[in-house]
Amino acid sequence: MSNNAVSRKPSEDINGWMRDYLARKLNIAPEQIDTTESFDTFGLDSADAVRMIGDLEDFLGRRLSPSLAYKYPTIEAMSKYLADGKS
Amino acid sequence: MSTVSSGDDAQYGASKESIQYHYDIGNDFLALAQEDNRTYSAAMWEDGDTHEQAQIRKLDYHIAQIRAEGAERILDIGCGWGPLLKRLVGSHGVKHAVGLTLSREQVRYIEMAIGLPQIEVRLENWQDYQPAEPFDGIISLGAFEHFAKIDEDKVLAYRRYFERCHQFLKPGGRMSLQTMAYGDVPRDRKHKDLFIAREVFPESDLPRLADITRACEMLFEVEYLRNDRQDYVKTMRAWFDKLRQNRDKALKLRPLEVIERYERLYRTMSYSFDLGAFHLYRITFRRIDPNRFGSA
Repeated sequence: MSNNAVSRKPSEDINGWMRDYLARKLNIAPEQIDTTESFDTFGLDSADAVRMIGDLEDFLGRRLSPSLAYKYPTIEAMSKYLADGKS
Repeated sequence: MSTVSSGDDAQYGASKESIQYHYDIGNDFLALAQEDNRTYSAAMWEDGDTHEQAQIRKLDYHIAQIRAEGAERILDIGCGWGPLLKRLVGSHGVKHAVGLTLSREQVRYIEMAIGLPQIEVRLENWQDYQPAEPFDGIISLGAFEHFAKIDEDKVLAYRRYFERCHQFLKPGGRMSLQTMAYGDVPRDRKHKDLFIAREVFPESDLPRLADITRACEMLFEVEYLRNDRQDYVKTMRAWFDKLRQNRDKALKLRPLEVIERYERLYRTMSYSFDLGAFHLYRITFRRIDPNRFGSA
């Protein structure tokens, strides 16, 4: 499913994008987001999570699995996984 | 075991206005997501298929399930933009195909763009339709989702549908139904989480398999059942990809927020099928006719 040629962003970029995304959603400063906390502690439900995966697809330019947020439930874990070009 | 009766003559399911909310956004706009035949339900994919080929495979599957080849009269409930009607009369020798829809745009499209004399398209609810003669078979693709509202007794609403279809058919006639359904979504999930009803299709909600089979008891036997949810993962993706490829054209027809709503719908629903939250059922029913004491 992945198309690595389109985009291969480093872990820090993905980390920063997700931090900004959640901060906007929660209406708080990005610095207040702990990237090792699991998504559900931020109040993200399953509908929010798949919506985030969709927006993340647009940022990375490749298809992603909708179960990513469940398998890699923190910003740290997910950005590390995705930086390897996986989907 | 008692059977369920649908009772009074109240209208079940989504109203004409709600159907038009989604489908009458504009022929030209939805065409930007669809394949050439404008089939607006899950295709049936095999390796190497284009979207067009996979849609035709789906139509031919349902046509074969009800043995429609060369039939006199076939009914298509929720006929969309008419690809099945066209296939029935154009490739399978059906002599008269009737399509029901609540969308004015779809009626206009079928009359203008397909315009075949063997096709009759009606702006009419299945609850009101009174055919002059019975049908050899019925196909309904991606319409059952609209047959019960979120807060009404779904088994009763579906029961009403099966009762009508039983009346529409000749003895022993078959019906092939394709519908989305809830998969591993708890029955007590709060409505606010169900974005289908909230945002996409007002007054509609998905069925559950158990409700469908309960509702058809003593009217139809289930001959064959498949859950092909991966087919909808691919079809939703195909609509998403095509609409996005056509972004410039879409912007000339609708504002960005509308385009993004449809894109989000297609992508999020592809995820829901991928995760198993939604299923895609293809069910072949056969009309039950009394054949022994106490059987009906």
